[in-house]
This record gives sequence, C-alpha cells and structure tokens, in this order.
Amino acid sequence: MTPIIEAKNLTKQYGDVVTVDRVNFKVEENKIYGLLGRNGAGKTTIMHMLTAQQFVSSGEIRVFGELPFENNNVLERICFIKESQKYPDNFTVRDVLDTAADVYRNWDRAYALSLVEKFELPLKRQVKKLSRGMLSAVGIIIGLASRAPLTIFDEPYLGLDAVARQMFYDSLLADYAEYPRTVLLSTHLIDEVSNLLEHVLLIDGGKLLIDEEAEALRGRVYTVSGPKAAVEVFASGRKVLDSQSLGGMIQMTIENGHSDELGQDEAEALGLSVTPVSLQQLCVSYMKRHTVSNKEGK
Amino acid sequence: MNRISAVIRMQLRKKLLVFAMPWLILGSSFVVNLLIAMTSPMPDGEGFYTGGIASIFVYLLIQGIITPIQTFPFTLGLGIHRSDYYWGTALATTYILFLFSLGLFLLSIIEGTWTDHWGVDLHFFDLPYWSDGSLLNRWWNPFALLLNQFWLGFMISSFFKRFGKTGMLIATIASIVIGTLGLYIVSYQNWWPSIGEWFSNRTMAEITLWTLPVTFVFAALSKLFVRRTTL
Repeated sequence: MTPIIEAKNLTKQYGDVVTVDRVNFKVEENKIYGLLGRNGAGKTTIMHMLTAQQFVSSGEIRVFGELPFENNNVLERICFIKESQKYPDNFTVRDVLDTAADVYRNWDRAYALSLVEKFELPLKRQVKKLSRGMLSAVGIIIGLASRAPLTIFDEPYLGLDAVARQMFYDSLLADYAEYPRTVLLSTHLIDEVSNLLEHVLLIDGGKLLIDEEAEALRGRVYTVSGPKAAVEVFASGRKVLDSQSLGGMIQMTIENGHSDELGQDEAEALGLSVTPVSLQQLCVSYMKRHTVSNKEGK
Repeated sequence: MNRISAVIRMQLRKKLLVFAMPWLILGSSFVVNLLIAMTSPMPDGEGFYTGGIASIFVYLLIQGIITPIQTFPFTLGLGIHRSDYYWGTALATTYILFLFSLGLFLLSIIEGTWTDHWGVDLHFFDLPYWSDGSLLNRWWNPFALLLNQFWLGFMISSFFKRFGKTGMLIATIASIVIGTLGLYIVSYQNWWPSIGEWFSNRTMAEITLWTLPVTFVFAALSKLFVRRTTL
C-alpha cells in the first residue's frame, strides 16, 4: 500500500540556513501522528511543503503517492489547519464555514454547527473581531468537520484554555473513531496529546530524531535515581540521554536498546528507584542530547 | 464540489460590499453633482459636464490591489490550488464587471435619452466622446476599462506578494526610469504631434479595444506571479 505521506531526503533551505535537513519518513493511513519539536525546528516548514504552500529545495515529498504542487488530486484530500491562517477581513464565521463547506468534499454541516455550539462561537461575528482563542476554534472546527483523508493541525490551540483544548482532543478522538482518517498533529504541548498519538515524529534543528510507534516509545525510556556510584555502575554500557546530580544522588534518563531489554527490572533489582518518563520528558531529553552533540560536532 | 466554483462563490459572498459599495461611492458623487447642477445652473446651452464617473474605475483599481491580499492566503490555506484561485477570481470579476458596465450603459441611456440629462443638463454618465457612436459603446467602453483597471491592480498586488518590498521598489524605480526615458525620446524625436493625431483619429471604442491586449498582458502576468507565490 502506498503511504499517505512519503518524504525522501526532504530539504528546505533559505540561503545558507537549512531549516529542514534531509528528512525521511512515511505516514501510514488512518493513524494519528504527532509531529513534535521545538519552535523553529522545521515542523511548520514540512507541513507547508507537503501542502505545496512552500516549495521543496531538494529531495521529494509525495502525498497520496503524488507530488502536491498544483495537484488537485492531492490538495482536495488534505485539510491543513495552521495557527497563522488568514481570513478575509469582512468574512463572518458563517462565511468562513460556508466557504469551507464548498471546498471540502466530506464536509459535515450538522457536525460543524454542533462544534460551533460546543466552542460557543458567534456565527455572525466578523472573523477579524474574534479573540485569539475563538480564531483557533474556527480552525479546529474546519479541521474536524472537513473529515479530510489527511487532516493536518499545526498548533491549532493558541489562545484556547485547558478546557477548550481538552474539548478539541476529545472531539478529535471521538470523530476519528467514527470516521477514521490520517491525522498529523503538530504541537509542543506534548503531554496533553500523548494519549492521542499513535506514532511520534520528533524534529529538532531540521533533523528527524524519532520516528516510532508511541507504544514502543513508552516503555523504552525511564529515569533511574539513587546513590551516584550505584547508578553509574548500572548506567555503564547503557545509553544515557540525560543526567542530573544533587549532592551524592544522581538521576539518569536511560534508553533501552531496541531489543526487548528490560533495564527497568534490573535497576529495581539493584535497589534503585525507577520512574517512567512521560513522552514530553522523553522528547526533551532527546532534544537536549541532540543540541549537545550538535555543539560538540562544531 | 468544483473548486473554481467554490472560489467564485467565495468572491461573491459579501454581496453588499461587492455590488453596493462602488455604486454607493459613484452615487454620492452623482448626487453632489446633481445638487450643484440644480442649485447653480450653467448659462443656457453650456451644460454641466463632470468626470465623476471616474470614481468607479479608481475603485476597481483598488479592488484589484486588495483582492489577492484578502482572499489568496485564505484560499491557499483551504488547499485550493493557485490556478483554481486565479480562474475563479477572474470569472467572478468578469461577471461583476459585466453587470457594472450594463448598469453604466443603462444609466447613460436614462440620462441622455429618457430624462434629457435629468432636466438640468447634467452630463454624468452620458459624456461627449465617451458615449459617441453606437449605443453598444456605452456598454463596451466601461466594460473594457473596468477590466483593465482591475487587472492592473491585481498585477501590482500579486507582483508584490511574489517579490516582496525589494522587488516592488526595483519595479517602481525601473518603471519610472523607463517611463522618463520614453517621454524623453518621444519629445526629442518630436513624436508628440503624430501621437496626438493617432488618438484624435480614433474613437473611444477603438481606444478601449486597444486596452484589451494590455489588459491581457496584466492578467497573464498576474497568473505567473500567483503561480509562484508562497505564504
């Protein structure tokens, strides 16, 4: 089966600055992907390239097996919601939704209206007069109600409070269960979405650091803490992502190898305390390590 | 649904702004002129001539500039591809301007034929030279010129979106230099009389016909710029 997205050596550069650096990944059908990374890591650039809103410098990105530029076959099946989406000044919320209804083939009007009520959006208000959170809600509603085979959310929650964000995650999950589709969710609120994600792509400094099933990642990384000497003995020969010491105690973030090695059990047997690492901490420690190795490389 | 028609529907969505605004502006200019013509009549036979009709052409120039700024990023964000945006906008605009020129055609007949220039010898829509010749010219002249102004504005705006501030600055300087050089050569070679003669030998309808290739170039360049524009 052709993957929904396939990036081969995908690169974007502006003059000397390389924002996306030879990235390779595949996105499979009907899964929720998290595209994670810091601000400026290259997430938005990748999403712009796969929707042909920016041009590829070198390498290639195929969506539904085809090149996206000026390709209705591809673009018709994508709904891309981004934080910086612009709307015509004089358009009301209703005008925007009506236009979206004309554009997206699978648009569900009743569902869109139910979301409008849920997020308490004023239909008759001009979009430019909405608050930042309401503006984000407009994007979220378009993204959900479009039911596009590939739906991309680029940090869609700016200005939304925790309750509204949870409403977004719940609606996404519920509608996804009923109408499966491929979702690419870019965010840096990693812990909030960690239960939602089935696959994680972590980008840092334009490079792809993680491309893994979320399930596989969960058991892989953990922290071990205890007396410095004991922890160091345990850690020797293992992959240490991060370490912090305080007095005689030390805490190390450790990654198990790809074989089903059970470091956690061994550490506990040694009397060290083991805590699982959240997806967010995991990503942070990967990125810290990447930053350090980048600096050492220079 | 076909995406070109989605763009057309989007461009026509704000009916009041699209259809009423330019006529409101034109209308206010007309009312002012009418009031002046009524309160301070010209000596017999001189008539009251005004260029107030120009406001709708200026409006379309501005409309051309605003259109890509307002709607292009929106549609691109919705995944509409550039050429669908272009053709949808072009068709919607042609439709709007067809109706506008039909309106100007009717008004010039109402003014010149039915109301005897509103009873006060006001020439606002029915102007000498402009409305000469076949009745059809009263539709054709405004139609061709409205299209010309819209595409001029659209071309400038899409050029700006494509090449940014620097590009705009260079293009502006280049067109000033070329324009000045052109004027200088024309003066130096003493071509003015023959240019004047050329124009005076043409009817308004012939001149507006000559704007067609120019409008076509504006529209073709706009397509080129829109096609390579990113956000």
